Amino acid sequence: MDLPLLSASFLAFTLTLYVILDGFDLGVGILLLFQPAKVARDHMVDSITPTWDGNETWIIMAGVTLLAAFPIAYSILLPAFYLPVILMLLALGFRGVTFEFRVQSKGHRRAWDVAFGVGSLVAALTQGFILGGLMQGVTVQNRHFAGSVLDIFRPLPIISGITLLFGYAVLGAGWLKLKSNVSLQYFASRSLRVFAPAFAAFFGIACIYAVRIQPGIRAQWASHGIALACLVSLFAIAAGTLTALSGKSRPALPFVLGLLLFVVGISGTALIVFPQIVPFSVSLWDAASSSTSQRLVMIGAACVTPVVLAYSAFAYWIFRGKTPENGWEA
Amino acid sequence: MTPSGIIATLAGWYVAETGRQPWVIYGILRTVDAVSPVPSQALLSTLIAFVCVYAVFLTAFLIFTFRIIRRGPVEAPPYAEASGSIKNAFRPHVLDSPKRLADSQFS
Repeated sequence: MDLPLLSASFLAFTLTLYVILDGFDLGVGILLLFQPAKVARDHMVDSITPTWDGNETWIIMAGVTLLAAFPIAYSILLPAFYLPVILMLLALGFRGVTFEFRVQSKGHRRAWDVAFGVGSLVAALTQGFILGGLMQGVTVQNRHFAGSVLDIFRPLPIISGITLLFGYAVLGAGWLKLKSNVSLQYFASRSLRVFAPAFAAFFGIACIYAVRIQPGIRAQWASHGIALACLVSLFAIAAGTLTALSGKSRPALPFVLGLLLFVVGISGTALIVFPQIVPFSVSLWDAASSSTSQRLVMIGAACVTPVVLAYSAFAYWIFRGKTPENGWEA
Repeated sequence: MTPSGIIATLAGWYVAETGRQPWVIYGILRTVDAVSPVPSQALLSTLIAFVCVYAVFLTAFLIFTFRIIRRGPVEAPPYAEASGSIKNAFRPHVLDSPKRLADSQFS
């Protein structure tokens, strides 16, 4: 059995779940910056309170899988993305404490909400930077990172950061439309009208720019041209539908379309990166740990993943339907 | 005496970390060989950022904690808390609907 391929599939699975699940709650956090009404902000935070920390489980799973199953990739990618990773952790930490602190705060609720929004925004940006850093290629010599930690501040990671920021805002607006009352649905629709076309446009720019600067991506286009072209058209159709219908659709449709956009984007990314794990220099078999370690990781994952999936599903099920007007505890 | 447990834990940790040098994994991997290729300026700036951010967290935490202690215990809510039963957990908004709220006051 091809253990590295199995581990890599599990890694892709955890990263996908992380991006779409934490994506929508980070998106709600970003949209908090554009919501002037305190009551509406409370309602927005209430819509993600029951599930946001469960959503972040998946990035820990992804990190552990990368470390245990692909230690060489871990030792190259973590130094390469040192600055965005640390910034992301600080931003997520900021956002994590703000959930509690904003409720305790007496006179400074607005300031804590700004911290909440900025934390979400920085987390989204830095994740986009990391994606862009992967797409522009990582400098590797003798299986060691040989570039500079500042390589990440080039045009492609910056474009990619903004793209992911808009993408998360789209997911967040879709979530609000699904979970909230009429007045917030109006706010969600207005946000979608801005962020859906912006996301699609920046996604397009990022794709074109990435193809121009990275020969590795051109090579993947040459070999998977039809599949990638299908994904791009699917993305364009979904983004167009989302923009056109943002005002008058059923409450669930924007969120479903947002998820579709992300699944398509992630599939395209996977198609471009595979079979490398450090684009475009180290393959996942070259970066894999010993088969004993791989087996241990996969046995652990097989035990833990169903439990995590079950309790996450349980949490979503309990808090299904519209978020109550006065919060869950009232 | 309150902080003595924290001091003991931290002191034990310091002894373990410094006592193990120059190894990071005793007898297997030296600390020098385990260092990542991240320049020291980057490490220093993120260390400063961590200290600053956590100082803000700690300050806010202490302010809120002392405020809660000063306020004292809160009176129990007039309605029943959501019970631990799975049957209730499966009902959305158990406490949200006025009828359920009224019901729960009698149960």
